[in-house]
Amino acid sequence: MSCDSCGGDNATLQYTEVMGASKKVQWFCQGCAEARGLLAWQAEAASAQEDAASGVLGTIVVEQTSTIRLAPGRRCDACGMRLSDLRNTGRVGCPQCYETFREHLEPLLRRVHGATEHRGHGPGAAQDREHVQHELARLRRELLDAVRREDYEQAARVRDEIARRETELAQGGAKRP
Amino acid sequence: MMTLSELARRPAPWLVGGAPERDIVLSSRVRLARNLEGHRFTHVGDAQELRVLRAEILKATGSAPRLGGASLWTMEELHEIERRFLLERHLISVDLVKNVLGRAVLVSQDEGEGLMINEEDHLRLQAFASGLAPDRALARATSLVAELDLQMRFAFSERWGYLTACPTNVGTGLRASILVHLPGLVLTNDIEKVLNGLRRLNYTVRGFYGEGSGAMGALFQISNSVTLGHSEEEIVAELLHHTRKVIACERDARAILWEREPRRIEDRVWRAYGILTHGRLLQTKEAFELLGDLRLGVSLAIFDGLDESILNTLLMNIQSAHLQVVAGRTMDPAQRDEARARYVREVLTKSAPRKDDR
Repeated sequence: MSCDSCGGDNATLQYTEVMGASKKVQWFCQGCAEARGLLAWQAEAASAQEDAASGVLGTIVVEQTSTIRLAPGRRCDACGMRLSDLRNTGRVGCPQCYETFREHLEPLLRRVHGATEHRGHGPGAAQDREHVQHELARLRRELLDAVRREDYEQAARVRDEIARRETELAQGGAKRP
Repeated sequence: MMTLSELARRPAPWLVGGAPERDIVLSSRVRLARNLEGHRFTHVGDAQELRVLRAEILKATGSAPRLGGASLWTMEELHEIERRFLLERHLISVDLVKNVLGRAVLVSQDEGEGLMINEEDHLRLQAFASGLAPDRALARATSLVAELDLQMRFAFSERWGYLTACPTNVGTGLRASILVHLPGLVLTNDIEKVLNGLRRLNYTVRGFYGEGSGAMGALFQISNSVTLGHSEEEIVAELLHHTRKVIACERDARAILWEREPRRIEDRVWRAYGILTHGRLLQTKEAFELLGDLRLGVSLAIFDGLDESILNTLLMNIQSAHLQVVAGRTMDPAQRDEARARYVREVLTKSAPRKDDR
């Protein structure tokens, strides 16, 4: 098979690009595929196979027709996982892998999630929440007490404080507002 | 601590009750994925490692009030049919049916919360709510995960959030799904248009059994696939917003069908009722389709005396492993079809006084 880029006769990679209804099939040799960044895409496509079915990132299909020797690549110090394992399974081996393979994961995360930074809850929020919950329980007792005493001014103050804390709790320790 | 057959004999609480939008939405579910710091992920762990992890997680869950009195099943000790039963019940995933070593599931007393141990991630917490209430499910899941957060250290990075075995779950580790019944859109042939719209917005749409299952009885699960870059509340609020749009489309479709072809719809519903109350053999797929038609009949007030709770419970309990766990023995497909037909007849003749035909 000849390479559609350099014309050489050792094309090993079939590259199919799907844009809406049109489909373009090209063949590339290892060098030209690498130069075009197709090998990285291939790894991403493999790791996202599960999602491809649901159409999340099913727009680029790269099919391998003969074995491409990928350098086994970097290895995670913590769990021994290699970059090639990540490419094959689509999964990382341990929490440390996220740092080890950062440069390979970031483009994938951007493609799948449209983001590379977490904006949700974090650990430790539980302790904060527990504290707020205790405070809320105390304030509710105080409110009942004030109503019983018919001290409505104090009751209104406590009521507003409860509302404020409840909102805080509902926002659930969001790391960044 | 419940036995599986006790579980099988009662309705799943999250499928019954006067739930919001219950004519269209069966249930809402939230899953949170967490892993323990300093350990390899499940898929690279060996049996010994996974057992140690399981013991560690179970010790920690012992002091979580929301899991007080929870039932524990370790996968090695269950028969395959029992694992399939838990799968049908939405309490475990296919992963735990196939891979058993070091795996377990904890189910809270009211079945509203569950925890899979050593699924793709070390912990997969689930919370259920009936009807359209993913925010309620999120609140339950968040409370449970907060209790566990006091007992163990989850793998977390400031940049990427909760670290998961698969990068597609990283960040919040949250998947919220809503189980909807859309017979109106199926009958008006508008269903693909609506589902494709959802897919373009990065939502995943699957059948009743989740991943890889086709849609039976016009039942679909809608869930988010983006887990990073938005807060848990934002993800759930967005899903709620788009599901409400789908609900509006379904209501319109039902109104159009009812206005244009009331006889055709009535006929379809009554035929379903006829087969379900008189058939002697019922396959799962057929039963799903017919119960789906009946459910449409209930929402169009073609019946009184039948309600969504009864039909939702039937949809759950007619599944193969459910029938076998209740019977306490394995059955071949023909025996199951017979048991299924008998069970459906019993329930429907008891609870469906017919309305006079107009």
